[in-house]
Amino acid sequence: MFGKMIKFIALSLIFVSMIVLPGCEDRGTNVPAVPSLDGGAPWPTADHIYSPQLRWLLSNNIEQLPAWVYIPQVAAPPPLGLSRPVPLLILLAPQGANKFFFAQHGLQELLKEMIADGTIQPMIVACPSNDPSFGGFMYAGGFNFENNPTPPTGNNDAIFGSEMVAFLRNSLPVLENQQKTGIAGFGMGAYGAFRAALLSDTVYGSISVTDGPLDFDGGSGFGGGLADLFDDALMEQGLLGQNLQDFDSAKAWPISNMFIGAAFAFSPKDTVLFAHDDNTNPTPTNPAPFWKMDSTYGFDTTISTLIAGFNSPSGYIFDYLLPFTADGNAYPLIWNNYWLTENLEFLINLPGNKLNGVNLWFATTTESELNYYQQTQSWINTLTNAPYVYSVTEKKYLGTAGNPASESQYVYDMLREMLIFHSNSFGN
Amino acid sequence: MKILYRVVTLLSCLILFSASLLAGGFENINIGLKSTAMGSAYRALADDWTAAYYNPAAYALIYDNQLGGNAAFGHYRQTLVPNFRRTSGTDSFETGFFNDREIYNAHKILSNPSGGLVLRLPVWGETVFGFSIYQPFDYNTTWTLFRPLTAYNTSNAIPNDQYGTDLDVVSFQISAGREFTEEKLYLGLGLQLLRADLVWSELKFRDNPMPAPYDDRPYDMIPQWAKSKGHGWGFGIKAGLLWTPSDRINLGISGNIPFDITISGDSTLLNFYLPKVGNDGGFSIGTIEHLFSSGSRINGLADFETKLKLPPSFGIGLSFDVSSKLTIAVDAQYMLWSKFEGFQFSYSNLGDLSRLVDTAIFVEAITDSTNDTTNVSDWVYASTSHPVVWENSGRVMLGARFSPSSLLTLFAGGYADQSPARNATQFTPNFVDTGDKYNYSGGFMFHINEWDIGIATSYTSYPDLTITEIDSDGDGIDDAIPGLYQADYYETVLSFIYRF
Repeated sequence: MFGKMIKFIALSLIFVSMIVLPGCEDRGTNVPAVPSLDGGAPWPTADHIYSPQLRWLLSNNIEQLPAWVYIPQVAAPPPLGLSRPVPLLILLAPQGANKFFFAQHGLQELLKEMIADGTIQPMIVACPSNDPSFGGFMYAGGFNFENNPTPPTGNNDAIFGSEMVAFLRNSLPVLENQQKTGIAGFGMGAYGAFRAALLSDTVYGSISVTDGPLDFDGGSGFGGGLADLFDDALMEQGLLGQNLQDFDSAKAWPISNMFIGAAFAFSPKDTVLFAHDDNTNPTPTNPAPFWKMDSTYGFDTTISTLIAGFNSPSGYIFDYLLPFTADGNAYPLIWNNYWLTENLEFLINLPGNKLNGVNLWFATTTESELNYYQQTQSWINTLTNAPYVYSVTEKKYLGTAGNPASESQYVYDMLREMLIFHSNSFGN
Repeated sequence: MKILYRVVTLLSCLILFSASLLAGGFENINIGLKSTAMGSAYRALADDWTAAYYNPAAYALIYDNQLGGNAAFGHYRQTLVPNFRRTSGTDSFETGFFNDREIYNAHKILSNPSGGLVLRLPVWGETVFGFSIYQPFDYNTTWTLFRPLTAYNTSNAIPNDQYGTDLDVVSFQISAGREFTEEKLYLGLGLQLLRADLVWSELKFRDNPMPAPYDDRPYDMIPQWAKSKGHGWGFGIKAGLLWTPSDRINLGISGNIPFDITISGDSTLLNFYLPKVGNDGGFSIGTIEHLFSSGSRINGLADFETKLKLPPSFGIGLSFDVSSKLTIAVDAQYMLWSKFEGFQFSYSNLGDLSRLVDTAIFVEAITDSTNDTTNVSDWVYASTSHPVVWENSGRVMLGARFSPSSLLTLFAGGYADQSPARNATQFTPNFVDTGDKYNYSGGFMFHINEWDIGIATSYTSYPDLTITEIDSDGDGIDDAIPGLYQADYYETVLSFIYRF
């Protein structure tokens, strides 16, 4: 009897143990550890004076281009790092954004995490400020200025085509070849990235952009591009069909600002700097006949008084050339001759301006503003069809409910993917 | 006998077709060793102090005075593979949840003691009275599922109990059972004093009221962690009937009506974890921009109140003595879980927000965003929970008892349990009831003189459940944590009964 009982108890205990023990085992929570971070840091002396490229830049007496530059730990000097040369990526900000734009969207933290966990290779990332005047000059200026290499927008073609890369290569441990050098841009910066790569076609080995003014006239099947925004700019100021002399540059009107900034860059001669009667800053800056615009100058309130007879072909006292008339139609003389000749479709046809061998990546969304989506699609269409037939990686995306993919809402997410794209493009 | 056959047929059908009628929620099904080991098929043969729970009428069949106690040890073993992404079409964006990774609820072995005293007294002839303390409702789980996205804010860590429920409803019950028709019909009644204790924590995500870039991703949603701790008292009634049509057959019918319990507490904590925007531009302390870009944490304190609407239930059970050593039992229960509406917290006695230097600015920002200058606290202390829509559910239970000797009794059983949340879309880790469940139980008990001592164990298997949508009703408010939910439940009961 007791033998059976002991056997039964033993079997029962085994049975109970089998049931109970798996249920009692502490599995932990499997919550991932806090990610380790790259030990790099922003470069404290990244702002740089570009002279003479910025000598005549509006509202910039010190000829300085602010920039935010991240140096990964491995590229930092000892004892923190090894001063090991790493690839370089230049990130161009959208309209109106300063050098902290990408940092404000998590760039530094993304770099630290992604470098540390091996998602991307260590790279130096430079984020120059877009120009504060009118929100930027399309990163243009220099090209078409045959007799004037230092326009009021600054000679951006020289800066983003070669000078900035040269400065960074001279100052930091940057790998000096095309494959190891990338450029990227958001919005207006997208145009800037392609423009720089086209005009200096041996500098950049990879380009990534989001939607931007990549095809001013849109193109068949893709809508109207910037041309469709002429009346929007006028309506923004309540000037459609009114007197263009009142066209103002106040930053409350972003479309108008974009056109004014671009007009400065695309006009055949620099402007605004001569023959004004600014008594608060009467001392002209040599060399004559150009005056340097001082940042204290009452720009927005004075501009309308400087415009006289704007729509008259002979009346350009204030010499930036808007591409439209007061009724919102294209002004062919300006549009065709000075704007479309700055379009990427035109630039890519210039001798030598090709993107052969350059890796191309686009993030594009139908929710982008200012007809940027249509322009981007048209530009992709150009790049992927004869005679170029380039390979393009295109990421299409949409925003979520309540958070449409306009303006800078998804910069954080696109940055992550851009960094991976460039890291892969840099190769081993 | 015809009635008996009909009842047997009905219960048999319930078992055979249990897939379509399988009670769950947070009911504590297992009270006591024997009932646990028999799959809770105990309504018709409850012969110890736990009859207070299963059928107070069965007290009338207890001929000894008893003192009994149980120590139950339970473990909710749950897994969630989160898939909490903001989606649009085929695009999805990370949110900070540990997506695509198996996350386990915090490991806890829950201790659940209970006990009772049964006395046969010469009142109204002879009536058996009992006093018992047990937990008819119990749930406990805690999760860490979220860490803010890279770049959001690393200066303030969100506590680990991000989602958690610790709900205990303890019944202090006085019961009485008495014979009404000699050896045929017995009736019983129990009066419950219910004490409910609740600790509830959850994360909510509030729209950032600032303009760009301060509300651009990853700063678009502000995590709000809320933790409430309180208790309340209520009443309930248990009633039962036991009919013994023959020496070998018992039929038990019982029901329970718990009344609503208002739970209140003075320790609701509402923490807002504001973003830390990289290179915030050096905004001055005291500005809105600084507040929303410097990684601040704002703490709110308030009293809270919520209503616990417990479900009534009723059931029927049949036991049959196959032989002098073997008894089988089958039960069916229906529970009105639709009465439970989740927890909707209302706040009062709102405390000042912490970080005084920024409080006015915070209020100003919220005021600006809501265009409402009078109801700022409505935003801050907006209810942090959402109602749930549960359905009534059934359960069928089957158990057997075998006594090979006077020293030993063996038990086995199981049940099929229909989930009240079977069609719920408001699914969060606070209650992981993934669907219809199956339970397998067993145990044994030694009878040594006046003592009965034993152990039982049970395993409850949950189906996997995939939740796909964050906002299933499209009202713009998150009402689910999507992902793959998996669950099991283990329970072991140690028991003693002393007869005197």
